[in-house]
Amino acid sequence: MISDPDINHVKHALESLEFLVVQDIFLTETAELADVVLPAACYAERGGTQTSTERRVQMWRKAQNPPGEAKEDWKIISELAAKMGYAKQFPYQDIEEIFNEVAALTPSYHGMNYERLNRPEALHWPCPSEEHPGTPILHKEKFAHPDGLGIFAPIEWKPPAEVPDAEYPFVLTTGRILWHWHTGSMTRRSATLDAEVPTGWIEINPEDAKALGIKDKEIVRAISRRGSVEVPAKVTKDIMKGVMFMPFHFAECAANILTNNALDPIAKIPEFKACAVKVEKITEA
Amino acid sequence: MAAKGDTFYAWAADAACQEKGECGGAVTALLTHALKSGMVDAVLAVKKGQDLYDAVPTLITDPAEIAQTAGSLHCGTLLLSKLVKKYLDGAEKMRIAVPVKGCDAMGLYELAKRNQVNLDNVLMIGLNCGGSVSPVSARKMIAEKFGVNPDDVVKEEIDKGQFIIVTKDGQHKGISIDELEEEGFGRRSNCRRCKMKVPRQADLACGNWGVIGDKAGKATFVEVCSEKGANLLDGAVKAGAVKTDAVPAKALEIRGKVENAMLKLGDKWRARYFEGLGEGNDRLKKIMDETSRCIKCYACIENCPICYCVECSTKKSYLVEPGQVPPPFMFHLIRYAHISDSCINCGQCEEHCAMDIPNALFMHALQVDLQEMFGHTPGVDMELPVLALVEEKAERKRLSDTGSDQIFNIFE
Repeated sequence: MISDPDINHVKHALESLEFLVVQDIFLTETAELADVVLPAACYAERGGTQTSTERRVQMWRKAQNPPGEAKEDWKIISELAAKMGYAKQFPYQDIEEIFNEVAALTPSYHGMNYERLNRPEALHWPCPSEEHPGTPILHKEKFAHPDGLGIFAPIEWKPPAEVPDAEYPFVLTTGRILWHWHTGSMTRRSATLDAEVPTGWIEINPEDAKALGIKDKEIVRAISRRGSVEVPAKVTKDIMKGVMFMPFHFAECAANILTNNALDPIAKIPEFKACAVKVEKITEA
Repeated sequence: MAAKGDTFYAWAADAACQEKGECGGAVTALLTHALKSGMVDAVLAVKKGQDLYDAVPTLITDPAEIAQTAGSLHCGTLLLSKLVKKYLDGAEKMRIAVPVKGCDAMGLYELAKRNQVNLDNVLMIGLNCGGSVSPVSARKMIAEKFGVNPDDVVKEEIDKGQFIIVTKDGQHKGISIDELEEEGFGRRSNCRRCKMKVPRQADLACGNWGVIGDKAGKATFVEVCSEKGANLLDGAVKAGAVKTDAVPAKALEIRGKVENAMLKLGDKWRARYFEGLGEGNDRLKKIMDETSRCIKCYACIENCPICYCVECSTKKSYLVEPGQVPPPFMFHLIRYAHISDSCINCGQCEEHCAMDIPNALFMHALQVDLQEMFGHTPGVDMELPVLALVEEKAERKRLSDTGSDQIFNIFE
């Protein structure tokens, strides 16, 4: 309900479901719509491994038990499976057993086990055998094609699905900031980070701001074809004329109310980075 | 009966303790006795963590567990002082024995001045310290300079000017610290500049400098520095936990020579580092350039044994605009203004800095200048600092009532 494009549409879709289960560590905006919420354990409350985008498989170590009724993810799934009649298929007693199954079934993990992972640099897949040192850099000598060469294909530039016009004259681009992570379900609960950045904003070039009669820190209304939000203006020359930027972490001025859910035809990534908006001064009713 | 100023050779009576501990295991035996006899409720010490380069602070209440902390660890050792404040309630409700390096002892004194640690409840077993080595640099140094896999090292020690390693297969290999440091390895930079080699502000000062003849390597040189220290040593001897012998005159002389050589080395490194910083505008520019990498992670403030305020000025939006990285230079100016008169050069602000900013060098350089100007030496006794020692709440009220921003007028 914060990180997907066109939140009004997302809300409609979630509310149309017959049954929604959310497993999370906090009662998030999405969890509030759920029929059942399964409280999960946070990173410090569970062991296991995590594979990052650089293909590094790292161990997590549990520092304390989850609070209250919260449980580790693998336990929730195993118990749920047992209730559904699949206890035999989910017989796990501990997380190492699960990792060993992953390693046995995944060729690029075959050489991994907890003993080998238990070092700061961990292991990178592919690591096909116990003698294999792992692969920190992929395609170092050659690509995976038979001739060892990579294939580069040019792509014709296409405009975004929605471009500025007379009614919505600005490009809105959205993104992240240093102080908060993603939907803010964790970082916005940190008093320290909240003191640094308590809410979102819309960046407006000084020339655009002048033309719109908008001052720095003034609350304005940003509107797209999908919806509208009230958000503080940040007048700054860091953003170019004709373009506006909003961080997406903030539920109370959610950038994704405005964004377009048009998808990239292959990667299916939504067009978070460009839609058309207009900005209005808020006048007293 | 031992008295302040007396010196002894001391070693553990227990053979296992002798074996496990350094130089006859006197410190391990003293800590065990302090706990067993009820002189303290707990011992705060460090034990080996994941490997030889990792140290884990641990609070021990069972005397049998003290052996886990025996033996030297030069690479993981971090400052213990602030842990006493943060996690042990400033020793307010618990009597704690702590083996302390010079910086640990200095940090405890500075926290005590600020009412953050109750020194009456802290028993300090001082450890002579020639310096420590960062774990990252130690692993690199052992791989590159010693040609040994760091994971094959089972023991490291610093003795007679050498960094010595012992490998799994029993081989000893030593390289002179001077040589290592000329090549950018060796001790942490704050340790190089340190001149608190024998922590006499502790209750006992223990080490291997000056242990000669047949006692070399088998006994610890103990200097009694307080009545509390004398009571501990006497009690341990009386209980049969520790054995002592007189120190030969020659040994005392040799210990003095080693200490002086270490102090001279400290002076040499100070001159080198401080000259490299330049003066006046050059120094300011250097500091501004380096701190422009700051990501405002607060590791320096969290770990500083001088920082103790509940309401940190760096978090006041009218002083430091929030949400900016790098933070405005005022962030660093506040640290310099609040800490530099009392900086004990423990190196924590540099050790923990995610951006490798030489924070300790900047603060220490300022402290040395202030010491010259005002004659105050932090960390050695309970003398209050020159600039700003205030009861935080009372002072915030006074500032608010008077509309003043002068915490303390040094020119009055």
